[in-house]
Amino acid sequence: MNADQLDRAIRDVLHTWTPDNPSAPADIAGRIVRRRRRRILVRATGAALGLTGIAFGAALATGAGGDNGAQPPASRVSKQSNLLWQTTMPGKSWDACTTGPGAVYCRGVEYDGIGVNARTGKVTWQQKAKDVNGGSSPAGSLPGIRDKVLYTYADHAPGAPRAGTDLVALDIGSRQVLWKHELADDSRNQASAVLFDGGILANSPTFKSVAALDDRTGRTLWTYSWKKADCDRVAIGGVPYLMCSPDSEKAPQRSAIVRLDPATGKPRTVATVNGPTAYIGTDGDAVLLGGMAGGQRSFRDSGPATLTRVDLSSGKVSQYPLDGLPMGVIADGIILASGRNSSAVAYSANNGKRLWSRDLGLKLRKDSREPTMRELASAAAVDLDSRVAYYLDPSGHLVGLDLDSGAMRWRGRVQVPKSPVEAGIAPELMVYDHGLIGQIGGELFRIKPVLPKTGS
Amino acid sequence: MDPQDHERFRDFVDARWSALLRLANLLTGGDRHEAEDLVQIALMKALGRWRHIDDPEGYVRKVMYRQQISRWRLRRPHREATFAALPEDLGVADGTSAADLRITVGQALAQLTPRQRTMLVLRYFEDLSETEVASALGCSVGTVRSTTHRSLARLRSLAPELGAPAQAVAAAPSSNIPKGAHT
Repeated sequence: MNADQLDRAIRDVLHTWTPDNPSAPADIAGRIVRRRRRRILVRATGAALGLTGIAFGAALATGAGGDNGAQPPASRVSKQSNLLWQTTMPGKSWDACTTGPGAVYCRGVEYDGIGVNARTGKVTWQQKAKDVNGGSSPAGSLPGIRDKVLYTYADHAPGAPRAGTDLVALDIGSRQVLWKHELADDSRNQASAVLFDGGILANSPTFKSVAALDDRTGRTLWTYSWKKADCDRVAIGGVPYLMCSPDSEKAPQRSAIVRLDPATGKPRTVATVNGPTAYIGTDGDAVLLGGMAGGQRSFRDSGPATLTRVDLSSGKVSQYPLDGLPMGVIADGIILASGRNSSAVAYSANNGKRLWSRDLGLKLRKDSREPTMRELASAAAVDLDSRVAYYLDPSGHLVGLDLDSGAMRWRGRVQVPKSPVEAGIAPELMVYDHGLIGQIGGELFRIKPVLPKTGS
Repeated sequence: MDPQDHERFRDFVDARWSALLRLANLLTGGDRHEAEDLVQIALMKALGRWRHIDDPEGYVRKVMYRQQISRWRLRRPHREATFAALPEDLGVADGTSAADLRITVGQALAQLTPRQRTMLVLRYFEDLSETEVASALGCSVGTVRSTTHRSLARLRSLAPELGAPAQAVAAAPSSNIPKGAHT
């Protein structure tokens, strides 16, 4: 066969082939929009919420202090807002909230789940915990909502001295528990259970394994285990990944990003990095890890750090030096970390360069019993449409900073009952329909900031 | 995304899904799940810039090429050699030369590595010039030329029935001028 014949034959084969069932699946565009929203939500809320609250609190407070002197130009700050509703939830202690279509869902000590109408603020349903004196995990999270099922946590053996933790699927419509699955430990943070396309990845049955569960039935689809590493579970673009760091000094001093096939759990190491690392979050198709670069013994110690950026598509690893571990929320290529004395510091997720820092001007009270401890501000809630990063303090003060320059664009206030200082515990703030939903203890509110017109 | 953009995106996806899936199937070697994933990833990326894209189809196709090249870079050699069967619907050898040829070429294409097949898909299915392929994949024209040449050589080795090339170097389309829009 000469070249022309081969040329024609290849063209013929390629052009005449049609895949089976090539028509678009029902509402595929809607599914893509929702998939992208989930990705943005993950990126905006970040996996660092729990970490910023507790584990890395000290590092954050000292990691990136001071101002870089490059203050953004002054601009008008709006103090206008529209408080749409404010609700006092039943029960005394609330651990975490999340938003779903038309509703806010929270869980706490006395309730495994509660639903609040996002339009009116009225409590529409509630699922009481079996043991209302169970333990709390105030820096915890809710795994999420999918197809009218709320995934939450509950005590495995209510009332027992060591109750354990179940991952629970609650049907929002019928208020029935669809299934429960016991987790390896009582961590109820963002890595304990992660929704991915095809199921939910649970920290089970041991601390060094994961189980992929069918999200409708709770049936175990596959499991994967590992050794000599601590691995965070995350879902990126709907695909489950493990972010693994050595679990001791005796373990091989390498961190790894492992992709798990959603259908089979088959692992594939995307990249390895020397030394222990902490998972910061994702920026598009890249994973950001933080590492210690100044001989620190633990991530709690302040000091120089390394930002590692791993491209998930190519496995390419890029590393950049930083003055401190930039744990925080990632939004559109910017890492928003907490700095010293109630400040926010923005780093480029592309190269670790410090972009701006800004005093938030929030009220974070010190704990009189433990002077080194103080209240925490919420993690940043970023509205990418207006490019504003919002923060909330436990006293009800709110601020909005320009994502790109750090300029103050909005200040707000919600009246909340006075409460004792709870050091190390942060309120929660979520972007919802161009506004904000916040939770401080048992207070839940929805507020719409009125931003100054751009260019003013 | 405002309702108007959403509507435009929905219309585009409904209208072009099958064409994009067809390309993705060829690029991924017939793996339906990977193909759908590839299309969805490309559409998600387009969605983020929807308002600013003049040529959505061109943009999405380019993202698919690049995404696919990223995937093959990621893969280990042992994975590059395995993939699902490509055209299953080529028919049965019925003794007529045209049908036999289609089956032979189809089976050989299915045995190429993703990298080799992607290059051939861009050249022969998308009808891109060497320059356009190089631009789409972010490599040099020389790389496109040599990879295409090697792909065709491997195609011949996988299917001895194709015979030796009459002019070894002339196997690939030689013109750098675009051959027109994709079908």
